[in-house]
Amino acid sequence: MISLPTSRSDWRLLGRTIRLVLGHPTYLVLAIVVMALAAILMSVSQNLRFVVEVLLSDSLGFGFKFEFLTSMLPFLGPQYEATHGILIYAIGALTGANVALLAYHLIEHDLSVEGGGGSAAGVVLGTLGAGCAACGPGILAGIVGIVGGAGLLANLPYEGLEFSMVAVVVLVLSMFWLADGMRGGEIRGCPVEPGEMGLGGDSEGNAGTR
Amino acid sequence: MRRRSVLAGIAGAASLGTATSLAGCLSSGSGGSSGQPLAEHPASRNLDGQPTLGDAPMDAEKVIVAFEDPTCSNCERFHTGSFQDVKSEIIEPDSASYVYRPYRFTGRGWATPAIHATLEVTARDPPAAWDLLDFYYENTYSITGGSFADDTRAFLTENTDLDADAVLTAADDRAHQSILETSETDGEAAGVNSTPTFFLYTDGTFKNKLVGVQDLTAFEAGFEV
Repeated sequence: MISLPTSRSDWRLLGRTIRLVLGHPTYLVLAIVVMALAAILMSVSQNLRFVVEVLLSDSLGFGFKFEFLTSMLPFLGPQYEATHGILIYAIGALTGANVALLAYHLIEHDLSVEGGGGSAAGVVLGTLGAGCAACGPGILAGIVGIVGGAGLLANLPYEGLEFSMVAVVVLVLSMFWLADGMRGGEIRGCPVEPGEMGLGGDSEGNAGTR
Repeated sequence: MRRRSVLAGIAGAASLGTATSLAGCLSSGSGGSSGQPLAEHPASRNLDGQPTLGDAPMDAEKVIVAFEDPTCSNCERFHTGSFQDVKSEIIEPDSASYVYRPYRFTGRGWATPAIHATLEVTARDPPAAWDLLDFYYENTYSITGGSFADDTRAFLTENTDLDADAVLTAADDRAHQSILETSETDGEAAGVNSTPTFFLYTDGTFKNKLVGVQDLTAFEAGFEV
């Protein structure tokens, strides 16, 4: 049964899990690296082939390539207006946190399928969420490719930003399911869910039933 | 060791998802073959009658063909922003040409008459067409279908010697429908999915396609690689 973050304690669980995992330097660095990669990939998605060619070119210097790449990023170049830029960085940050949570869950909790159905489901959904970093532009590119679609995006109320908003929701849900899978366990010696230890989880970090 | 392999696995999974999502960007809409002659490339094979800055496209070393919509917010940001740099740093000092090809993207009511008015002004007084485009982009959010005719008439009367009523009559009559339809057909053939989209040529052959509001650096890179 897939649960949704409906109560205040669900959101507190999610926040605490993220805070504890990102408090570990290794996972903080992982989250930052993934965030940067995701934000760059999303920013250049419309011109990906061209950007790769420029970055691999022998005739252009490093300084120019750096200036060129930064000019493609929201708020550093003209390509995106503020709303779109904020969404790109938000999706990047959520993707970084999602991947860090997933990595922590897999590595530190020594996860196996036998370890708990809830945890395994969280990992699967977490992986899907991590791969969804480019959901917005990816789905967008797919739809435009299929429909042939000039005008399609312009007819949407937010001209395609809807897809990025969907990606934000998917990533938040994915992180919640990962946190839910860690419910009852410990992160860096701290209980994931203080005061509720023993409600079904065990000391090995395996999730219980809710 | 286990930690390293799991991290690699996660990175791989995330990359796979991202790469899959982005695959369309790499495999579609490339804008034609690099090296294709200007006269044959779908984006540049029918340039007559459209606003042009700088040298004649067939004679210029560098050519930018831009598909734009006078009512689109991204085109407005480009036109009032980095277009000024492109003009002063590439079009004016170099042997270069910039061609504006109309492409209706937003579906806003005044896009079609604005394009016809622009093409009519291009036929009568080519430099004035750029002034009219400047006016449309500076007022993208205030012009409406209802105010378009009055706004255009007021601008042309105050800033040009053109017969404003004749220009508006041409816009009403859709006098340049064949140019507009050809431009949109060419744009679709070249892989235009949004506006603005730019096609860059050097020495008469296609080099690169740029999508979205880009700054001067991207255009300079586009002529280099």
